[in-house]
Order: sequence, then structure tokens, then C-alpha cells
Amino acid sequence: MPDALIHVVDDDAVLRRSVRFLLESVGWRTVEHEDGAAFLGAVQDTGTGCALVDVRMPGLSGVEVLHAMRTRGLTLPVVFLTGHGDVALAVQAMKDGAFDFIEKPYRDQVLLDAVTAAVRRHETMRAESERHDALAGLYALLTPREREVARCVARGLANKQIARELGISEKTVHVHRAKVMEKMRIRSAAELAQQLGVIEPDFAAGMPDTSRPGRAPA
Amino acid sequence: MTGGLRLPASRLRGTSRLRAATAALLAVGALALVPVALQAEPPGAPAGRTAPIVRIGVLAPEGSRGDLLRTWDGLPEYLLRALPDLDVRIESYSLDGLHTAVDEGRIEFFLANSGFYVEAQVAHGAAALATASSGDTASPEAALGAAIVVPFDRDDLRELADLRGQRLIAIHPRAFGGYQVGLHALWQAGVRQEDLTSERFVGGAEQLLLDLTRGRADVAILRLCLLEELTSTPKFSRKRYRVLGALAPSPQGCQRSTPLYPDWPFARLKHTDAGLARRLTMALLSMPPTANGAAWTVPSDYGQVHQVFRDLRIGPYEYRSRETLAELMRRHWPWLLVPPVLLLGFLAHTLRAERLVQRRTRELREALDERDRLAREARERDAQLDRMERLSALGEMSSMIAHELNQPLAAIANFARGMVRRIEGGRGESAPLVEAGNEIAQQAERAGAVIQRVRSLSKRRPYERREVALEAVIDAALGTFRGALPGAPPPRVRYAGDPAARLDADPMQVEEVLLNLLRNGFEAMRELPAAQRTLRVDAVVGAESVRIAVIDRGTGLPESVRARLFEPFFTTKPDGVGLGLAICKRVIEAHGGHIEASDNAPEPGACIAITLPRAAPQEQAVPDGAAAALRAAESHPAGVAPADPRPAAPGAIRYA
Repeated sequence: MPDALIHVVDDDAVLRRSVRFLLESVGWRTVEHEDGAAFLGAVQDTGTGCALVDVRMPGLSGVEVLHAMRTRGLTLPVVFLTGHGDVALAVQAMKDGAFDFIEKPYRDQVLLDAVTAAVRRHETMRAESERHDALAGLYALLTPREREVARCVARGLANKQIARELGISEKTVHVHRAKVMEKMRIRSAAELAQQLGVIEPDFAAGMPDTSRPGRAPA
Repeated sequence: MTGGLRLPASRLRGTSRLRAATAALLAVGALALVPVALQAEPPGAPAGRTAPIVRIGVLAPEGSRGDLLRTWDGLPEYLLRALPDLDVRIESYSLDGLHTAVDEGRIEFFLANSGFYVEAQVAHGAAALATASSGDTASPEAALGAAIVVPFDRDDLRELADLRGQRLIAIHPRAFGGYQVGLHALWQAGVRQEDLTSERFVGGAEQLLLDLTRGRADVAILRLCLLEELTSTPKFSRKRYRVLGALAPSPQGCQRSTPLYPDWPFARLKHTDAGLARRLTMALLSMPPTANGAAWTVPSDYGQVHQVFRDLRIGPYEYRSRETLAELMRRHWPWLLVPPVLLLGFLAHTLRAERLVQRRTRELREALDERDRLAREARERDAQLDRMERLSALGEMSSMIAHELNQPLAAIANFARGMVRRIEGGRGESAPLVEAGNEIAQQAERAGAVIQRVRSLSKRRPYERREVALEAVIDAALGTFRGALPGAPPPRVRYAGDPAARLDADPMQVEEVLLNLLRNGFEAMRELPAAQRTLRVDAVVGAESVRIAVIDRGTGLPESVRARLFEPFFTTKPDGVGLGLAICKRVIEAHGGHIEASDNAPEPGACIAITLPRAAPQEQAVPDGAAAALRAAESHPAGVAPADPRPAAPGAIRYA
């Protein structure tokens, strides 16, 4: 994770510096922001990383920063640093989408572990996102009829059944199916189901659980 | 005006010149003396001499003129015959007229009733010469009286006493038989003049009965025999009238309500010539009885009559004060009851007031007690609030401390850990490490500054050490203890050595420490019933220091607790802060003393002892024997220290 970037957002300069010192001691790339506004102004959607945000700050509070990020579609995970007695605030923040919260004072290992987890999570998310975008692009190349066929195939229907459901000949189904497999660059119906699950959340909701590898539709 | 002038003929014969002169003088004088007819006898003239005038006034009470003439028929003629040389003139007068005649001295003699006579006797010195004796009376002493008459149909009037409040009529207020004796009879029956509604005096005798019949009066006084006289005529019927208080009929057979009094006297006035009086008397007494049987006899005793006047306070006795005390009391007896009643009322009121006062006093006392109790409660609450406030302030302060210190502490931790990781990871560039080290130091100082600020917030009075007596400090602490916990049994204090030994200490601080120990000891015994929670305070005076031990009978000190007893924030109480004993330790050590805790085993409870320096080196305070005796009586080898406080009892922990 060499390109991961950790954002430290805290109005207390010394504390900010100390966190940066600690993170850099284990090799994280770190950047400081003195408040929420500065952070929002500087953050970009490229690369992975996470943000360590003090929940109590003058100006934009930690929670407001979180909301702003979501509004902008930033996927960067946020770890809140809370003081004693801010549990309620922290719980609310979690509901709002924060990744984690750490109570001060904390053991250094706790902080480091949280950063690691957050960055990993971010990477995973980004990978998933990319994959999703890729699949969506491929899916877009399918004709409407091919999409219909794809959905039926993903549901585990045999060609004969698909032909009957769609009102076309089995032969036509066979042709469409081949096209779908080719365009989507897959080789099995299970894969198709998986991909559709990614592309179309509605589809996944209606299907038995096929997202885990090794489980084939019944 | 003097009466007639009588000149003996013999004297005139010898002095004609003198006579003429006297006559001339008299003639001049006679002009001023109009009613006086003086006849000088010519000397030697035997014939045609003028007789001295003797004027006799006769009382003719109203309505009885006819009777008088009848009764005294022939009296004038008799007197003229008996006294040929006198010009006797008899005239009848009314009651008032006769009074006036007597007053003015216009008569020499009078013949009137006893009442009139008595008045004249007292007022003018009249004297009775003879008393009339009517033919139909047995004795002249019992000739006058009265009958008290009411209409027959007045059933409410049965006795003389019933006449209270009635309307009375009589013939004349100065009539003796016709009024005064009747009034006296009433008086004797307890009916006073003031008790009557009214008194009226009518003109004629017949009017008396008429008014009774017509209801214009309730009761009438008639002189003796008047009733019989009037009712003998067809005009009045005897049956229509009733006599009250009737006594035995008079000798004449007349009904009467009064005693009988002496008959009329023939009396002379004081100015009357004595010789003349004698001659009249002799003439009267020699007079043969008249056709009616009336005659003259020696004068009677008129004392009874006087008594009537005296009792009624009329006539000559009117000067007497009308009211004697007895009269006053009789008449106004309801008023006389007023003072006693008032007195009783006053007494009753006083008693009631007294009771009220007592009750109010009791209520007031109860109210005051209540108020005191409430005040005590309020004080307790205040103290409690104070404590809670302090605790909450403590809570606040600790929040503040926590917050303010979190930042620098967190930074220090991060820098330090970072340094360690860098060094362990082989990245030992000095610059970042140095920077980190500096940061650490700075943050530590920042934390220190926070502590300082917090410290300055708590107001702490500087110690004021001075000389103070041991027992003063102990007594003060006990006093506060008992005031704060009035339900607790009083702690027992014992001194080994001089209680007045002086300490070098801040009295308030030491008091607070003792109070803290007492409170802790008391609370350690909360499992025991209230009456058994007795604390002991043993004070031992040593050569250079004093040891005060507070011993309780509570749950005692297990080793684990005893080891940490004086640690800050260590507490066994669920709501305890854990600062009490820690503060005590600091205070005592600031005084140069020390504090130790031990268990009372095998007895229940614990013993906390403080040692404080004495003010100035003294000679040996308590001999070892006394301390040993204390210890022996105690039989708590761990609880009592010997005179020298240095050797600690086994099991005790010392904090030097």
C-alpha cells in the first residue's frame, strides 16, 4: 500500500504533529489538516487512504465533514478520535457512515491497527468499485434482448426454459447466450450471476445467495 | 306676735300717770301690730272690763267638719262658762291652715290629731294638756287607726305585701289617721313609699271609694271607721270592698289594718302663758262628758306616734337622711350583687386567661422546639449540600483535569511510541527523534501548567500553627461530631497525662482530621444498633508528642484494606471519594507528626492514631505506670500506645 495517504484532521497542532510522527514511524504517508474545511478542500478522490478526524473541532465538526464527504461521493474511510464522554456522538457518527472511532487517550497500537484496517477497507472498496465500473461498461454493450437472456442464464434456467419464458426459439437463446458470455468475458453461468449481482443490486436481492464462491445455484 | 296682754286690776289703781303713758306708747305700738287687739283696763272700773283672748285652733280634717262639731258640741260654751274672764275663741282650721296658725303663733292652743300634735311638739315645742277620750273608745290610747281598702275583686291583692307596685290614694299627705298610720302599716309589711307606683291625695272621703270602684286606684287608706260610715249610706256597698291586713276590729267595731294610736290631744304652744294653760287644763279635765260621751283626760303617751313618724321619716323626722345603709341595701340589693359577680367574672376570666397563657406557652415552646429541630435539619441539609457541591465541584474539576491533560498526554504517548518504533525499526535519524523528544518535554510542561491552574482554583487556607491545648482540640472535634450526629452515643474520652498539654498545630486542621477519623469510625459501625456505636478517644501525653487514638467497634481492617488505607482515591464506601484519609495523612505529616492504622483484633473494630508534636519540650508527662494501667484496663494491646509513641504495636503500619 505504498500510495496510501493518511489524513490527520485535528485543530490541536501538537497532537496533530504527534499523530503524524507516530504514523510516519511505521511508514505511513501522512498529511495534516488543521480543520474540516481545509481537509475537504485538499482531499481528492484518487488513491487509497483514510482520514483520522477529531470529532470535536471548531468550525466544521467531524460529523459535518463526514456528511460533506458522502455528499461529494468520497469513499475515504473516516476514523473518529473522540474524547471521554463523546460516546453518543461517536455512535451517531458510526450510523452516519464512519468506519471506526477511537477514544482518547489511546494506546498507539490501537491507532495503527485502525489505520491499517481502514486503508485495507478502502482498497477493497476501490477495487470493487473499479470492477463494478468495468462490468457495467461491458454490460452496457449488451443488447436489450441479450440482457434478458443474461438475466435468465444467471438465474440458472436451461436454454429450453429461457426460450419458453422469452418466447423465442431455443436456437436464438443459444446464440444470445454465447454472445453474452463473450462480451462479458465469462465462461459460466455462476460468474454471470455474480457479475449481475454486482451490477444490478435488484437482481442480487431476488436471487439466492450466489455471491460466495463455491456455491452454485441449486 | 304675742298673745293677749293681761293686766291685773290691782296694779293699775295706783299709777294713773304711768297708765296713761303706757297707753300712749301702746297706741303707737298698736299701729304696727295690726291683728293685736289690746284692751287696757281702766283702773278701778269694775264693770265692762275686756277679757284676754284665748284662741283655740281646732283641726277639722277634710271631710269631717260635720263630725267635729258633733263631737265637740258644747265645748265652746263650756269653756266660756268655765272661764268667764277670758275671751275664748274657737276656730276650726284645715290641716294646712292649722299648721300655718301654729307656725305663725296665731293661736294659743290647738286641738288636733296625734300626728299633727307630734309634729307641733317637735317643731314648736307644743305640749299636750289633755287627751280627748271619745265615748265609744275604751281608752284614749287606742283611738286612731286606718283601714287599707282594696276592691273586693282584686284577687291579686291578698296581703299588704301584695301592694307593691300599686296605685295608692289617701285623703291628705299630712293626715295622721287617714294616711300616715296606713303608710306605716305598709312600711311594716315591707312596702315602702318608693315601692308604690303612685300616691294620690283626693279631695273627699267619698272619692276614695269611688276611685277604687272605678279602677283609678288600686288601694285606699281610710281613717278608722270611715269605711263603715261611708258604706252605711246607700251610695256605697260594703261588699264591694275588702280590707287588707285586717286586725281585730277596733273597740268601736270598725275594721282596721293598723294599730290604734292615742286620740286627739289638747295642746298648748310654747309661747302660751303657763297660767292660762293651767286654767284651761283644769277646765277641760273638769268638763263632764258630752252627750256623745266625749271627755277629757290626762295626756297620753304619744311615743308610738313619734315612732310612726320616725319610721316613715316624715314630719319632724324628715331631716333624717332618708337612706340608711340597711334601706339602701334592701332596695338596691341587685346592685350589691354586681361587685361580687364582677369579681367572680374577673376571677373566671383570670383563670381562663391563665389557662390560655399556659396553653399558648406550651404551644410556643413546642413551636420553638419544632423550629429548632427544623433549623438543625436545615443545617444538616446545608452541610450535606455543601458536601455534595464539593463533590460535584470535584467531579467538574476532574472532568476539566481529564480533558485538559488528555491532549498533552496523548501527544506525549504518540511521540514516545513513535520514537521507539523508529529506533526499533532501524530508522534512527536523530533529527525527528530530537524533535519528538522536545515535543514530549513541552507537552509534559503543558500538563504541569494545567495542574498548577487547577490547584490554584481550590481555595486552600494556609496553615496557621499556634499553641493550642490538647483537650481544646479534642473537645472541639467532639462538639462538632455531636452536633452533626446528634443520634450517636457520645464518644468516651480518656486522658493519660495532662489534658491541658499544649500542641503546636493548626487547631482547625487537627480538628478536621479528628472529625474525619470519628466519622469513619462511626460509619464503620453502621451494622451495629445505634446505641452501641460508641467510639473511644484515648489521648496519651508523651514527653515530646501527643498520641490521639480513635477506636471503633466496627468491621475492622483486613490486611488488604489496611495496606491501602491512606492511598488517594482508595475507598471501601460505595459512594466514597477516597480522599479523606489521604488528606488526613498529608495534614498530620505537614505538622511533623504521623498517622497509623491498626486492627483491634481479637476485638472488633479498628484504631486510627495520630501523633502530633507538643509545643515545647516538657518534663516527663505520664509515668509508664499510668500508661500501663490504661493499657491493662483496656486489654487492647494493639489499640493503645505506650508513653513513647515510637515503637509501633504489632500489625500496625506506620507512615513516617
